[in-house]
Amino acid sequence: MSSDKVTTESLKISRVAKGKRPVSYPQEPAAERLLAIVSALVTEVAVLRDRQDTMERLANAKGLILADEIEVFEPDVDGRSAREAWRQAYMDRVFAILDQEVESAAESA
Amino acid sequence: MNKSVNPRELPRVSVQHHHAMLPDETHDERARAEAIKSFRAKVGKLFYQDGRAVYDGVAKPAFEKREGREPKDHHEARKALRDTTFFQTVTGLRRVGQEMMWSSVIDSVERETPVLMQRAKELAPKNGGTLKTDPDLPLPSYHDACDIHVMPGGYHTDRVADDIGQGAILDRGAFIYHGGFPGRRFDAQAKTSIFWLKEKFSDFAPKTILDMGCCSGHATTALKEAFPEAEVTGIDVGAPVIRYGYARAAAYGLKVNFAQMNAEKTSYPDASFDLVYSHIMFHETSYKALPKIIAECYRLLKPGGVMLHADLPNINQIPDFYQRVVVNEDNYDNNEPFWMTMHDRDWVADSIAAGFAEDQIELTSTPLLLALPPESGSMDDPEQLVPSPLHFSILYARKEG
Repeated sequence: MSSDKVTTESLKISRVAKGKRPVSYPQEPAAERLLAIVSALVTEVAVLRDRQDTMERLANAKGLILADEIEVFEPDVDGRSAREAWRQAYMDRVFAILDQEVESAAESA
Repeated sequence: MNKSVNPRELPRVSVQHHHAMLPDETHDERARAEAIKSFRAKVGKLFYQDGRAVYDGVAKPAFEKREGREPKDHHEARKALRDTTFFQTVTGLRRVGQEMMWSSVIDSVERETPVLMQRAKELAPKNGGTLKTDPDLPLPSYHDACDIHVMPGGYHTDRVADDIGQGAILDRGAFIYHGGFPGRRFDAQAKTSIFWLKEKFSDFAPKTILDMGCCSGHATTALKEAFPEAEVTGIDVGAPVIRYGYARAAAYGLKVNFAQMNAEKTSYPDASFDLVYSHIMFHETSYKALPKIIAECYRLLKPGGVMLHADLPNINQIPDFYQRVVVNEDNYDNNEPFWMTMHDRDWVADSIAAGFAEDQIELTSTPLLLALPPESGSMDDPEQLVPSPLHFSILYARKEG
């Protein structure tokens, strides 16, 4: 059984469901990709917004109003690395549908 | 009975009760779940309500101009709608929203699986009931052909020994999918049919209950709470979902048996149960399986026992074509091959063929209950159940004796 070599620590769960994917735009197949990319983007903006909101509420609760300091803030080396790592994962999420297409193509090659 | 409430007008939205088997989520995972809920709610409104204006104002007139007549059924109505970019986009968004939903839930479950497996081990002895998996049980074709409602892996995929992942994915994903309307334990829908039964037959006190297609056990625990003196058992073809369900029931302090079985043919002896029940299982089976399941229910029931199945409304009974199209769309876009075609079978005829007497069978419908969280927002205060405009189909039959 293929799961024999999978440990709980190395577990990777597929995000793709078995079954033919419906075609929303019969005349415009590219639109299908754009829809998925844009929808992921819509979602991530809302996630970001909630995190920002959390920060501001926590800061206010501690008596800090951060707006002016935010304007001039620059991250240190570690901060820049952390942001870059995050952005790479973020772009993977936003463009997941294209990664899936590549994987599917590689599997059928 | 309370006045029917439109879900979009509900003042407060339920938060899922975080029992011990649900995966811990990061801040952003929780935020993503909320964002996807809102995404789906907006797209849902565009689809189920607003899109009617596009049908009436654009799609139908274009059809009439081309064909010289009105669409004659919902198939033609859908074809007309498919010519509009609006419908193409909104149905595309429905599918994308569904995929994002499962994907975001899998993020947490994938990471938390070692922790959840450990919790399942610790909780299992506290259930008090039995858990029986059957690795030799053949997977029905209707589970193998595609992953139902686009849930990657379905109910059955084990990726490690004693896996519980699919149970957790369903538990969290289905809560997000339904926007929290079935309440903090995701059981207000099951309570709809359970309360219907209790109201109709207040003297009915089953000692043994079988919940068919129990999945993560939401309806199963609702049955145990409704009939605390009964021995309750949930069956499903998927092993990970019943392992999860067994631990989830223990987390709620409930003794519930779970077994990996196919409702078409279980291994229980004749006349084993007073009540055989299912909740939104029918539409996930098949045209061939359904009469077998009903026949199995008859065999399993004790004399005087009750069969009760609840599922989605019959689109053939919806007069309006647009409404039929939107209620049926999951058949095309959401990996639900038997969604409405389950109603192409005559459930009453199938029940008679199984052995039930015609005058002991009832096919009816009842308003679907929604759960309103308390104003306090506290998990310790009770939810309020209110009827919604959506009706669920109910098949009821009593065995002679």
